[in-house]
Amino acid sequence: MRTVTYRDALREAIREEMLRDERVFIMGEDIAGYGGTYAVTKGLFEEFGEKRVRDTPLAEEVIAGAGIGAALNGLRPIVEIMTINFSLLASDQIINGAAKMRYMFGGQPEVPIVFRMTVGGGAQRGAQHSQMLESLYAHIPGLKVVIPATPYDAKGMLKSAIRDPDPVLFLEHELLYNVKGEIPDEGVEYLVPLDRGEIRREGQHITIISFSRMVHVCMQAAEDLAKEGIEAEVIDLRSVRPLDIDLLLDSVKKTNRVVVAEEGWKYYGTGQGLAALIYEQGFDYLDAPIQHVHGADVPMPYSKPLERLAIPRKEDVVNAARAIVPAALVRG
Amino acid sequence: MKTVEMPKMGDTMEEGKILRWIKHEGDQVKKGESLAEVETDKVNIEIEAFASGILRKILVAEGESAPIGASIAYIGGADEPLPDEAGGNGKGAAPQTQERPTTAAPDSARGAAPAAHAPAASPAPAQVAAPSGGRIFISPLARRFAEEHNVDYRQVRGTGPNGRIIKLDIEAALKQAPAAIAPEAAPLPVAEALPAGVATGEFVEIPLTAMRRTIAKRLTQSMQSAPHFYVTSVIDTGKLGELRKQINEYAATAPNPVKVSFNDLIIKAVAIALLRMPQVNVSFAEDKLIQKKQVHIGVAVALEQGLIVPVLHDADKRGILDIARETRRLAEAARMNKLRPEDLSGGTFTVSNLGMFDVESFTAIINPPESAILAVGSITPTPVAVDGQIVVRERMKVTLSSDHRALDGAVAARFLQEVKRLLEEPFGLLL
Repeated sequence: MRTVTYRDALREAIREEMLRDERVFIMGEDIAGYGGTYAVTKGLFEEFGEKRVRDTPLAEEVIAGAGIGAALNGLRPIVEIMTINFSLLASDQIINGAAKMRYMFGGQPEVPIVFRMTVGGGAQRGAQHSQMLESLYAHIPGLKVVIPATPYDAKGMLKSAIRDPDPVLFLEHELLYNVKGEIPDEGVEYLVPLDRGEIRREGQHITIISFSRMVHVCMQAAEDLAKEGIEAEVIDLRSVRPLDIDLLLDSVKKTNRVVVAEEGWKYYGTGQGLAALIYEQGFDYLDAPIQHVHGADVPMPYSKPLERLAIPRKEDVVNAARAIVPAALVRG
Repeated sequence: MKTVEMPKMGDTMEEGKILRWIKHEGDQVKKGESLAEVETDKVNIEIEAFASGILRKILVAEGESAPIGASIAYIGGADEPLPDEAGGNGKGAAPQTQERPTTAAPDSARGAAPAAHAPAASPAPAQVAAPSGGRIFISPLARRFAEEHNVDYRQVRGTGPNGRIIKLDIEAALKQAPAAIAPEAAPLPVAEALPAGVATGEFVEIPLTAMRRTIAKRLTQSMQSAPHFYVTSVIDTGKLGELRKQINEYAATAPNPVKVSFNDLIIKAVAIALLRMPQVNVSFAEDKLIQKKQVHIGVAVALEQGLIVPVLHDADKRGILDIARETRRLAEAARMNKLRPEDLSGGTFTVSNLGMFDVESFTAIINPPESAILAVGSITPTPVAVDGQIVVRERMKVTLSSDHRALDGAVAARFLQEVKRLLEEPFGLLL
């Protein structure tokens, strides 16, 4: 094993897949000579040339549409849309195009495309550039929406996404790019499936479900809770669509208590969707109402102190867990 | 909107109880002013506002407790939305689900349910009102669990948020009050173990656990309704010790090795004696005596939080090794909170042994609806006169408590004689 950043892990995945399959290419804004806004594609232009590492105009609908066309014609495009905020311009292509084609043409065409984009706030990008929005796409049948939290998953899942025959939205939290983690040595190939969550920490008192950057926040919260005797099971969804619901239910059967923690907004989002599914399928196993930790219900403030308040913190997760774990249970 | 949290005031403090609110909802408060008087495990102390504004909402009513760090009130501007409606940043998770932040404290949440019944932003003062009549709040898990174990959850007191019954409450009811399930079932607490965490101040208030409440209720009832009388006998355990040694040498090599205790042999002796004297194996039922055809011996097991009496069924029909294995299983299950309802029901007589605590003798309170209980003391080397010579013998004092409504002194004495005979000439235990 060796330690790499999330950014390096992504670049390795793209490079390995481009070496493995010459149909794979990447396109997006400033990804070629400049190396990408978040430096993920640095060096790929030099190695693979302009045919397979293509700069595009600042026109998201065009990028997405061209990518879908390429996929329909047998290529394996990776489209970088910089941030999910800009993907709104391409949303017709993604939702009405990529997500529907296999269905509307009787299962004949495949649209093997990956849309990579950043999500999330915390870097003072302001209200328009700090959104999660993953649930917007997770709502759509025909799309896969994956959102890894670690370098290991970033690499393994991006490789799986590139090989997947259907459109995959690959969401990278901006604050994760410099996060380091272990991945297997060079030359050791591995894939991470697109439909499996992961238990990051085992515990018997409460299940904390999260994804993307919030997983790291929840892990810290779990450390704090452990000091009080509360053993939290932390689950990283890794994919918000498809959802590994069995993993969640198995954990709920064990702990009987759930905190759902996400950076995004409260209403009609991933967290509420998860809670609804658990209420539906795990009702008899719940010993307390599901607690929801989420971002403030406001456009993301630009001000640093306000932004900090708008994004859930470790303490919020700890308090939510405390609220439903009875002291008597912990004392045993 | 600022959240006022229960502060930590001392190393041992886990929760604080609001004795009174000095400021009330709607009052203007200045930073540094006293908000409320709080009782901790050691002292009463006034907590101060750390921010100025209006005391918008009180989350923990007077007389209620909250764990440290839990939200107890909100201070903010007059027009600021309360976190309940503001959406919050996750901190509001609790209010939004109408969850009180005081859930960790068993007593705190009971009854006080303002959030559940008032619109979240209502300026109305917090009401202290038990969920009254009719509707019972119980978690889905607890309801299913109760139904699976035939527990009548209407009799169970909820310790969850808003007085909701949670699984722990059903488990406690199962373990500590099988009487609530089946009248026959009876755990008998004879010795008391204080809950952990008792502090050493002038005094502390320890809320009763469900087990403690059951102990208090059932034993008060027993002592008040059953006129107890006591008969003590001294038993020579010399031969019993020899026999036990031989049995254990044998049992160690058995396919399923087990170690037989003195108590196992006493249980066997009592079971045989009950078989021979069914007039002791009875329940007093106001207008009649109910004589049990089966011999089920309750065995008192000391736990951290109290004492519980699992039942060894058909003790008269079991061999010594079988009894030893079953008592081991019951004691283990009791410690692991894994006793099944049937493990706690049907006892017809109880044996309580404090011998391991170097107790010469003691008297026990009868475990209703049984009519007698045997209290067993330590085995002690004692000088005794045999044929005019002083010799040292292993002896043990046992005291039988009997319900005089059901049996008389002579019967109790004869029963004890039978037990003594069986233990002093213990070969009969094997036959």
